[in-house]
Amino acid sequence: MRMRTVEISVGAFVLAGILALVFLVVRVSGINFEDSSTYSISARFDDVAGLKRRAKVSLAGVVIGRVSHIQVDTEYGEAVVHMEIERRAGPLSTDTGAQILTEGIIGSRYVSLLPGADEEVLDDGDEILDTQGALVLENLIGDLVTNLGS
Amino acid sequence: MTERLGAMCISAALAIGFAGLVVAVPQAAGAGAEVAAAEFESAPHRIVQEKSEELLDLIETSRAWVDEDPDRFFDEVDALLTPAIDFAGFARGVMSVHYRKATADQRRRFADNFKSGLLRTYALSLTSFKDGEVVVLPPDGPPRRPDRQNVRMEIRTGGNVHPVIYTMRLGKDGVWRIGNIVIAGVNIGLTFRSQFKSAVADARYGGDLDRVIDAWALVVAEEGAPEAKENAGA
Repeated sequence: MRMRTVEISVGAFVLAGILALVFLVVRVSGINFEDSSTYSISARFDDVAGLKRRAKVSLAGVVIGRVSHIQVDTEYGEAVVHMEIERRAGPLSTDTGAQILTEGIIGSRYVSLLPGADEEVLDDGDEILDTQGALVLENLIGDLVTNLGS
Repeated sequence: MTERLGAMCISAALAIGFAGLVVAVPQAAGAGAEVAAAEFESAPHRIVQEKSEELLDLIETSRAWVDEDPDRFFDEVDALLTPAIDFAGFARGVMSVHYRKATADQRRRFADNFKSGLLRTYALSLTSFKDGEVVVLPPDGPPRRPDRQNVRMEIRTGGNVHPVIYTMRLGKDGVWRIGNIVIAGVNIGLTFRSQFKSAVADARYGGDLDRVIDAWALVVAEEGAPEAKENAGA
């Protein structure tokens, strides 16, 4: 009888460990089970430099959405980034701009939104037209080197 | 440490972006500089082509008197470009969220400052030059939107190619005008927008829209300088 309590407590402890691991994975990967209402918008970039699915979409540093999927448009040589934006974040003007920035110096890429002046707002399926793709360090160094000569 | 490095990278990116604006254009506008002749069906492309040709012609003819009379050059560049650039819309995009709160007078003053700042800064640098070529690239497909089209241009100087993209917008009066510029991948409109936003938040301007509007030329100059950017990030 006494042996059984030890077995049960070990089992409970292992189970708690597994639950903690699942919790950690969910939190780190950014999966959100909260049923918050979102709408989808897209933006075209000339270079997304390794932006991934589920990357953050932020406004003034606050996360208000996630990248849902990224397509390539081979005809125009551009990346089309689709984003899910939380409705509770409030409306975004139609002339909102989107930039791809890097978290820290070697951090992951995310999309930063800069709201504009329009009174009309973006709705489900709309596209952000004013965009700034990622500035790739190698390209910048390349520009710098070729400009040194002139 | 990482913040400082990050700030340095941003300022390097900005410096290269602005170098593109200042260096690429004047180099292209050199003696014997030319716009590769092409006929475009698309109206936005035709406008960019025509304006580039006219601007290079003006630089060519102004060479004799520009040193004595820079104001005349400034006026002529103004007269040439103002019909082709949507300065009011450009300035509105830069003010962004602050535009909604601004009074009519503040909006007008900023549009004026923004326009004269751009023209004063870049028009005079147009007059220093080297050989170069400006090529307006043909449309890469049918326009994706009826009221908006991108016109790609290449400024070729001494082996360097500087890509420029003009975002053309169709006005309510049916005229296409330049609404934004992307130089070597740097979206100038968005860069100015974030500069305006951080200037309003900056303690030096005390959150006063009027002071930012009046000091706009200074804001751009400071943000472009590496030291200012680094201090702001530290």
